[in-house]
Amino acid sequence: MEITVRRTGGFAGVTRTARVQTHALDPGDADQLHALVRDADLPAVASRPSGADRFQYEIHVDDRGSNQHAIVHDGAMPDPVRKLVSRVEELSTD
Amino acid sequence: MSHRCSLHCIVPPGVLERIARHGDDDQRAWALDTLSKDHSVRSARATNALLMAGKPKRLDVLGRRPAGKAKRTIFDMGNEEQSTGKLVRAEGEKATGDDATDEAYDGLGSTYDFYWEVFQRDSIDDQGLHLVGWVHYGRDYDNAFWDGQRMVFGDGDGQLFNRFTISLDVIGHELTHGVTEDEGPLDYQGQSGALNESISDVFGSLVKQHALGQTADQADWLIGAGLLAEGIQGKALRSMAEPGTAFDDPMLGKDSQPAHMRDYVRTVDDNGGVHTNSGIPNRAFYLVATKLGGSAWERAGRIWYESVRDPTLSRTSGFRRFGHLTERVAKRLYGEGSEEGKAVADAWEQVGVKL
Repeated sequence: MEITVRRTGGFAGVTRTARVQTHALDPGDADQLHALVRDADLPAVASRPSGADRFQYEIHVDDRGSNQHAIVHDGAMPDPVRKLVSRVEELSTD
Repeated sequence: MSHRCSLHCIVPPGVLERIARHGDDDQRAWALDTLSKDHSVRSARATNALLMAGKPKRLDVLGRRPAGKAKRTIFDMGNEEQSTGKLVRAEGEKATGDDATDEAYDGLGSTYDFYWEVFQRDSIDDQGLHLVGWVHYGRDYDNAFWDGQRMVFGDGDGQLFNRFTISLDVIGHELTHGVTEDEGPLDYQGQSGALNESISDVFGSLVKQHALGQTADQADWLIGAGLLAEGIQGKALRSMAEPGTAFDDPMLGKDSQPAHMRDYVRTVDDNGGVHTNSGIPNRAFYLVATKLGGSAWERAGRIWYESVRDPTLSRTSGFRRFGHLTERVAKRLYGEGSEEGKAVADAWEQVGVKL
């Protein structure tokens, strides 16, 4: 499974990309990410900007050709999605 | 100064205030138009009365301070995002010695003073709203934002960005989001979002120019000067004079702002490129201000401010609608055939927005 998180916007408007491939991770981290993706339920996420100058996150999950995708906004993120985003950013080597 | 001091010189504010309270809609519109030409604090009370009469405001249940003085409170978030924070500086308290706290306090004060002295606007809501700043938000947090209630500032990561309170225009930018939300609002998406962003850059820059006493030709027209960390190749985050030229750096990338409609960026990023396409109306404002010369807040700023407050500005207004509005406001304030009206029309044409 490959998970990509693109952070765009914010006052600076500068894009930052984080990416992890779970097969390259320790099995513990990989299992945790698979669970976080399940909990995040990306296809069900609907989000609108909250306030101004906040980050926008575009999350893309590619699991052997089966794709999930969501756009979420800082300040309006469901907790499971926030956890997924933070963990991907922590584990990313990009 | 014939362009400014016309009717209000002979009609006392007291008369205008009575019209505000007892006149019909047309009379109120005339009185408001007359008062809008007056930059003195003397007319503020009458102007406020007119606005109250024309637009219902929230009830004031707590009682009000006299207008004209900021009420600021700064909270230290202790590098957390989910925190209630700690009150570190309330209005009137002396400097703490912490840069972010004191810059936020001073910057919110300069921004309040700008809106009061130039437009007789009493805070974000023109009702004396308390200004709340959160500093040290998050860890190495590369952002500043308006969350609908307060202005929030990160410390920056030190590699790309310094602390976000370092530039006065950033603080003015965030507070202006509150003003736009109160007056507009403008949807934070696509062209209306880029216009919303541009309005924050315009008034953020004017706050800085006002504080420094700079004329249009002395101003740097940069947003976020001082914000880029040492070693980053660039002079700021955005250039209103020359959008797309503020930075070009291996780590940060290149400034991608367009300066003309032909280069408008279509994207799903950043709510449809709101921080990118804002370059187009930013340059339009710069062109008006430098064409007219002098203090940019006096005429160019007045035209933009009255346009933001115009009831015909809608949630989904784009560049063209706003451009039309600025031209109409310029002619209303300064006359058909005025240099102000012409400068506005020329500026939008130069950035490729057909009115």
